[in-house]
Amino acid sequence: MGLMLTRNLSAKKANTMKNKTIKIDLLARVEGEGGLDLKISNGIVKDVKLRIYEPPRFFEALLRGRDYREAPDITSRICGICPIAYQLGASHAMEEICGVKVEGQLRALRRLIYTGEWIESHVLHAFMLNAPDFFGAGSVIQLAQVHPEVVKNALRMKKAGNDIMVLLGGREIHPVNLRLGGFYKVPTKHELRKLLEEIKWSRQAAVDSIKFIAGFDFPEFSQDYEYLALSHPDEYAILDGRLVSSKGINAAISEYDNYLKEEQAPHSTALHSHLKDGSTVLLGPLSRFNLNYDRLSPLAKEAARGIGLEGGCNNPFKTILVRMIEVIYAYDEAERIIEAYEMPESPAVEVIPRAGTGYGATEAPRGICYHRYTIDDNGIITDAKIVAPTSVNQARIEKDIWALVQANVSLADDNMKFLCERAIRNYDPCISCSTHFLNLKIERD
Amino acid sequence: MTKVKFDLEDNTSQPEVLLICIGNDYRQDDSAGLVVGRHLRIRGLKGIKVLENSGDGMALMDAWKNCDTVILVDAVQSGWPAGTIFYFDALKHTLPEDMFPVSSHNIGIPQCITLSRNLGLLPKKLIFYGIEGRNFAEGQTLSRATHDAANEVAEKIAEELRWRGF
Repeated sequence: MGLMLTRNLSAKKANTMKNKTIKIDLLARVEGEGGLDLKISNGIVKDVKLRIYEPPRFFEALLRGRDYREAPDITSRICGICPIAYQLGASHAMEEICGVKVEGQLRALRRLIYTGEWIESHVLHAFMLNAPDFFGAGSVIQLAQVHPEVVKNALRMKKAGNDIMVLLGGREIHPVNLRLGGFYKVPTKHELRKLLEEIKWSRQAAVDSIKFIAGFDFPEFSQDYEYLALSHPDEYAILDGRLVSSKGINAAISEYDNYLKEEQAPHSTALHSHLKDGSTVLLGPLSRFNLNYDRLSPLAKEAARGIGLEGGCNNPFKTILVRMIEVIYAYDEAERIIEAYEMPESPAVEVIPRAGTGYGATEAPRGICYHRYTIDDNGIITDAKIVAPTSVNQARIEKDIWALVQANVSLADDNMKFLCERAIRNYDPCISCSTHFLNLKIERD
Repeated sequence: MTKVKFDLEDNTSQPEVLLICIGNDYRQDDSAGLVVGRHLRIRGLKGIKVLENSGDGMALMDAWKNCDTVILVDAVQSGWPAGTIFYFDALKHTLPEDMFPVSSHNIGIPQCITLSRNLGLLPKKLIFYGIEGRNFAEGQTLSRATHDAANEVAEKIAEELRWRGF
């Protein structure tokens, strides 16, 4: 197989112990595993279980007893794709407890780095994970054979997001430059402006690519969704806002626990979160788009109009289009912030601890990411609760699949598996969103 | 105090040799590639750029797209004894996908090489060193065999570079 193998002395020693069992407790760089069980009896769907068997990581317990300043960095390790959502959710909650509000250019920089995270995450999902579905391709590798320029442009678009993350966060994965009250160091005007050329190129590439994606063959599908997102009076909500839903919720973030609760599902190591009456809500791009459309930038609205989505979008298979509209918005917003930037005198405001409970929620690429902390007078964390958007979307995913499978119950197993995988990928779930993550088990009586 | 680098990578002037060291400092043997890079970085060889990467395939493609020679170093899990060193000319031979723990979000190294090939983004020369790890659980201590192998790979690369006049 074209392999040249050399072994060092240590390897030779190890080779003498052939009967030794090697156990790998945890695979490195694996972000999650999931499966799906379907039960169909006489053509009727009897059960759908999205199984998440990634070992629980107990972050909330880990945080108890730690210093309040550590929360942003500890929680950012929850996800390599959306660390900013965790860093800023934790920061907002702690700052609320301590009576601090980060505003002006520091708030703008926080919003800017968040646009970088949206760009990275959305472009990755749209082109590398989701687009191959529409070509019957197993992965982006096959897509690149058919449309190499599309994939090349996507890589460059994503890089523009990476550059924002690197400049403001110090590195693109698990940034190290964010702290309570702001940043350790802020960039100069000149450093920020160096990003503009690629941001502008990427925005045009995103506009062009939406037309390409709009030509895909989308399955017709919709459900009676309750969309839930943050809503801000003056901007397309990313950093903060009120909890607003399409069926009447309008509440402060501090009231989150009055509306949503988490429960253990026997088939999942991730908690299922839903409304207290047991109904499900949908988080993420579709919710933001449908609830906050009027606060998108003119160019993002124009892109939506151009593909017939001006009145909203209720088909989860079209979330890929909405993601790209949000990408255009993110480039627009990044440019606006950079053009208006004046270097602040201090990279952070001081956050002095005092006892209390605080709340933070931001719009991660996949939807609302909620944090609640209690600290004592010395800043020691005594309680923590974090709800990732996928916890909320899990139950919604199961309902989508239930309806889809019932409507297509006669499909052969392979086709059924593909359809279910696509339905799951619509949500870009942060459990294991590789293109081949799904082990599907179908029981038919 | 956290040290933060604010300069963007300057892709307009690529080094003659790019050494990409892949790994995670907090996953024991997974940091073998990083050990190799740090070993070589302190030697200050001219014309060589050492880049650390956490396994994001797309970042790799961007890093190497205009390069002449690229050397990749990463920990692998193939089932061979810990400390086994694998060497591939990655332009001539396909890396076995099952040597690499798969990341669910990111594109792994073998897929990234194939994708680069399809997009015409490969460097002129691409060498891969794999170092077999034993323990990839949380922690910062490398197993002895993997650590020794990392040092050995660093020596091999240094020797190769010396031979090429660096």
